Amino acid sequence: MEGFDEIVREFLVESYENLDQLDRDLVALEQEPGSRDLLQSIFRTIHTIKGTSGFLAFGKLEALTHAGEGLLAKLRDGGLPLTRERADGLLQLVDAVRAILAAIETTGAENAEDYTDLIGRLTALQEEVPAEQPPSAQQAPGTQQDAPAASAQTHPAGAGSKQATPDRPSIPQPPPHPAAPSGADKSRGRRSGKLPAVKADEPSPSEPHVPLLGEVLKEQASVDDADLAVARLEQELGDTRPIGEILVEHGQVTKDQVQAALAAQAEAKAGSTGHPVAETSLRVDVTLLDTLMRLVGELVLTRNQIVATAANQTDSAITRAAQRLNLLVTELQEGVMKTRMQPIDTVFSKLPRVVRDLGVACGKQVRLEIEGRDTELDKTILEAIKDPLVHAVRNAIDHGIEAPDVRLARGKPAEGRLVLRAYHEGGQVNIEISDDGAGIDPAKVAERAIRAGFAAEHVRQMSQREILNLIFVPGLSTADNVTNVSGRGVGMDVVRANVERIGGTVDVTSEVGVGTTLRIKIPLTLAIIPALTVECDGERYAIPQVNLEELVSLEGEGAAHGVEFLSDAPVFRLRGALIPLVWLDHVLGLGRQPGPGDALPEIVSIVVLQAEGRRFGLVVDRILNTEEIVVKPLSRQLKGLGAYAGATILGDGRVCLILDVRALARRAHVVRDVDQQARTTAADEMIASIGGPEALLVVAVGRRRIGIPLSMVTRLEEIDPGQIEHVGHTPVVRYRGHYLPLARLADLLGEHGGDAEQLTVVVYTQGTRSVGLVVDSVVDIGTEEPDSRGDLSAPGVTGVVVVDGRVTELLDMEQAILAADPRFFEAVAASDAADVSPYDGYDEDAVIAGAGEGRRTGGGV
Amino acid sequence: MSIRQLTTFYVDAFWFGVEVHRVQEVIRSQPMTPVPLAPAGTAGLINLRGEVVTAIDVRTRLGLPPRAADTAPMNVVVRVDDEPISLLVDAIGDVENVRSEQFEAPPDTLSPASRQLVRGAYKMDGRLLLALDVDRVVAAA
Repeated sequence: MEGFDEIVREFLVESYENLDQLDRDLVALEQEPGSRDLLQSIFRTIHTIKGTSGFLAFGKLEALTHAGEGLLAKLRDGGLPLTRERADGLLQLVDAVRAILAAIETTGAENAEDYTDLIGRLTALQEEVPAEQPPSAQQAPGTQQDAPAASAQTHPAGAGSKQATPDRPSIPQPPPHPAAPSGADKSRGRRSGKLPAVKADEPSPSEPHVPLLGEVLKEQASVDDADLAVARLEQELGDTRPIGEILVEHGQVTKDQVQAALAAQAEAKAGSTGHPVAETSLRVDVTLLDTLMRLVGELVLTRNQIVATAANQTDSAITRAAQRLNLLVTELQEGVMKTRMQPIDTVFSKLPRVVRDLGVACGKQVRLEIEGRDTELDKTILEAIKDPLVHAVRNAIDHGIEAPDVRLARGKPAEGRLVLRAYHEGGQVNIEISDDGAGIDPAKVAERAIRAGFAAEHVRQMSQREILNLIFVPGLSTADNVTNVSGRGVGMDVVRANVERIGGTVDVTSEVGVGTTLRIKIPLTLAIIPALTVECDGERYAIPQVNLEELVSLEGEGAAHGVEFLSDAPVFRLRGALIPLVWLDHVLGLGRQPGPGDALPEIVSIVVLQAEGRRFGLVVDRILNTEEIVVKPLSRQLKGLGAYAGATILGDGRVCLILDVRALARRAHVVRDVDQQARTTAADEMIASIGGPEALLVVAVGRRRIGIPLSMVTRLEEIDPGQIEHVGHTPVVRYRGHYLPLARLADLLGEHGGDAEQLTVVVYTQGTRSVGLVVDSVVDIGTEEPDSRGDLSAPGVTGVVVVDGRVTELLDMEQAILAADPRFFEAVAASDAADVSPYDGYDEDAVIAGAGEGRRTGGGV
Repeated sequence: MSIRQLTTFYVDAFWFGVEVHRVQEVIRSQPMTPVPLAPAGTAGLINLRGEVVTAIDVRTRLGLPPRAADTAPMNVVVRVDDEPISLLVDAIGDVENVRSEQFEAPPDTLSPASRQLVRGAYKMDGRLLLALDVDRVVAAA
C-alpha cells in the first residue's frame, strides 16, 4: 500500500508541474493559435495525466482528461480553429484537473464534484467542425498540400489520434521521445551498409528520431525510393555533398523543395529536442538539498578553522592540503548552492494565466512580455517572491493599464503592455514590473497621504520619488474605486513587507500617462550570505552586506569634531548629508549613547547602513572583516526580540548573532515610522528640535574665545601663509579651483594674531562662493549654556555666551564674511535667482537639504 | 503502577527530574554567546555540532542566586516543540525510576515563582525529586 501511495504522490508532483506548464501554454496558444509545438505540448500533458489516472483508477479524472484530449487532438491536427470558447473550455479543464488533484492530495480520493457538464462541453466543442475550415496556416510547410491523398487519410480523427503510429508518415509530428544527438541522422545516412534497403533507416517507434532529409523529400512526393538510393550510393562512394544537393543536380527535386524539406526537418528536430532534460535530470527532495546545504555550511566553517590552523604550520604538506581543501570546499559550496537555484520562470510561468484572467475580468487587453526567464534564484526566495509578484501584476492590470477605449482616446494602442524583467546585478536579482498604463499621479498620492494624517508640510517637502514610494505605506491605496481584484487597502504595503522579509527592497517610478515601473531587488540566496563582522562590548556581531553602504573611521581629532550633537542626538556629516548615529551597545542595552560633551573614544568606527530608504551610522567598537556566513535560525524565544536576523557560527566555532538592520533602525528610532521616508525631512526635524542652544565652533583669536555657529562652518583648512596672494587689498588663496578671499579675524576684532607657520582657516560656503576666516586655532566644539546669552557688544561680535563654563564671544558672521568678500551676498543672491538653488541666506534647513557643496567639520584639522 | 524514567540533575539545593524521552543529550559546559535584550533567563547561545542552541539558566529562572564563578554549568539539551533547548544546571544525577503513587504536589518550601515551574514532587528515599515543567521553563525565558 505504501508503494501505491508513493506512486500517487509522484503522480501529483509531476502533474502539478505539468499543469503550470499547461496554463502557460494555453495562454500562449491564444496568442499564437495553431502553433503545433504548443498544441503538442498541451496534448502530451493531458495525455500523460489521462494515462496515469487510468492506471491509478481515478475514473473522473480519466473521463475528463479523455474529453479534453479529444478536443486537443482535433485542434492539433488542424481540424478545428482555436476560438475563445475552446480556450475557455480548455482552461476550465485545467482548473478542474487541478481541483481533482488537490482533492486526491488531501483526501486520497477524487472530489465529489460532477464534471459531466464540462465533459459534455468539451465534447460539444470538438463536434462543431465548420466544413469550410481550411487547414491551419501554421502547419509545417508543404505537408498538407503536397502530401499524397493516402497520407492525408492516415490522420485519424478524434481521440484516436493519440496513438502516434510508427508507420504514420506525418513529418511535423514530433516523436514522443527525446531526439538522438544532433548529427546522428547524417552519419546514419552515410554509414548505412544496406543500400537498397532504405526501409532499414525507417525509425523504430521507440527510437528517438529526427527524419532524414531524404525521408522528408519522399514524403513531399518529389522523389521516390530509387532516386534516394542512387543519391545515397553516390554519398557512399565519396560524394561529400549533402543529399539535397545531389538530388537537385539529378533534377529530381527543385531547390525550393529542398528548402521546404529542410524547414520541415528543422521543425521536427526542434520539437523532438524540446524535452531531453528528463533524461539528464533527477527529482530530488528539497529537504535532502537542505541537509546537504547545511552540511556544506558546516564544512565551510571547518575549512575556515583548518586553513587558519595550517597558516601557522611550517609543514608544507599540510599547507598544501589545506589550500586544496579550501578550493574544493569553495567549489562544493557553489555546486550545492546551484542545486537549490531555480530559474525565476517557475514563478513567472504562473503569471500569463493571471494576466489573462484578470484582463478578461477587468475588460482590459494586456500583452505580457517576459524577459530573463532563466535568471536563477534560491528556491526559498522564489517561493517568497511569488505572492508579491502576483500582487504587483494584479495591481498593474487593475490600476495601471487603462481600458481599451481610454487608451485609444489617449493615443495609445488598445492593448496594454506589461513587461516582466529579471536580471542579475551585483550579486542580487532585480525584478522589474513595468506597464504602459496611466501612471501614478504624485499629487493624488500626496493628497491621500495628507488625508490619511500625514503632516502636510512633510509631504510638501518630499521629492516626487519619495511621494510615489508612499504607495507602500499601509492604507494608502490610490485606487479611485475599490474593485474585487485589488484596492482593498491591503496592497503594496504587503508587497513591500514580503520583499523586505527576505532582505530585499522595492522601489517605484512612474510617469503620469506613460506608465509605472516597480523594481524589486532581492538577494540570490538566504542560506549563505556575505556579511561584515564587527565587535561590540567584547562580542562579535555580523551585519548582512545587503544593508551595508560604507565604513567610516573617525580617528583622533576627527572623532571629536566629526560627531556632532543636534539636541542630544549624535549625527555626523557624510559628504554633505546629515547621518544619525546609533551606538550598537546602546541599542543592545549594553551601554549608554554618548551625549554632548562626553568623551569619545580615540577611534569612532561607523558602519553606514541603509534601512527602509534611510541611512544611519552604527557605531561599533571595532570593524573586523567580511566573510561568508551560514545563516542559522534562532530559537522561537529569540526570534521576537526584534534585533537579530539569525545566528551563525564563526571559524573558531563560536556562535555569532546576525543583526537585523531594519529592526535595529526601528529600535533606535532612526526609522521612526514607515511613513517617514524622507531623509531630508528627518534632518529638518532634528534641526528644528534644537530650538534653543546651538552648537558652536570655538576658536581662539588672540586671547579671546570666539564662537562661530557650527552650521556656518563648511570646512576647516590649514593653509601655508606662503600660498597667500593678493587681489587688490584682499588676501586670497587658491582653493578647490576658486579663489578663496580671506579675512583675518584678529584684524576684524582688533587683536594681535600670532604669526603661525600654518594658518587655520574656517571656510564658509554658500552656493559656489566661499570665504575663509583666519583664526589662531580651533579650541573646541560646544553648546552654549542655557540662559547664558548676554548682549555685551564689541566690534565684530554680536554678544557673549558661556560655553563649557567659559565666556565666549559670538562672531558677527555677516560682518566677517563681508570683510573677506564685500560682494558675497549679492553674488549668492544673483546665482540663487539664476538657478533656483535651495540655498537661502542663512537658512540652515535649506543648506542641509541641498546636497550641493558638502558641509563638514573637522575634515581638515 | 505506571513507572516513568526521569533524567535528574542538581540546581542549588534542589534535585530536579525531566522525563528521559524529552532529553536529547547532556554535554559539558560550552562557550556561550550572550544575547543582549533577551529575557533574563536566556543565558546565551551555544554551538551544538553546528546547530545554534539557546541555553536557559535554570538558576535564573527559579530566582536562585547565580552560580559561583569558578563552577561551570552542565548543558541538559531537551526538545521543546521539536527545537533543542539547553538547560544550564549545576550537576548531573542518575536516571531514576519513579512511580505515580510517589507523586505529590510541589512542596511549600519552593518560592511561588519556582512552584510555577514545577509539576510536583516524587518522594524518593529520604529526599524529594522535583518534576521540572520544561515547557514552562522554556516558555517564559
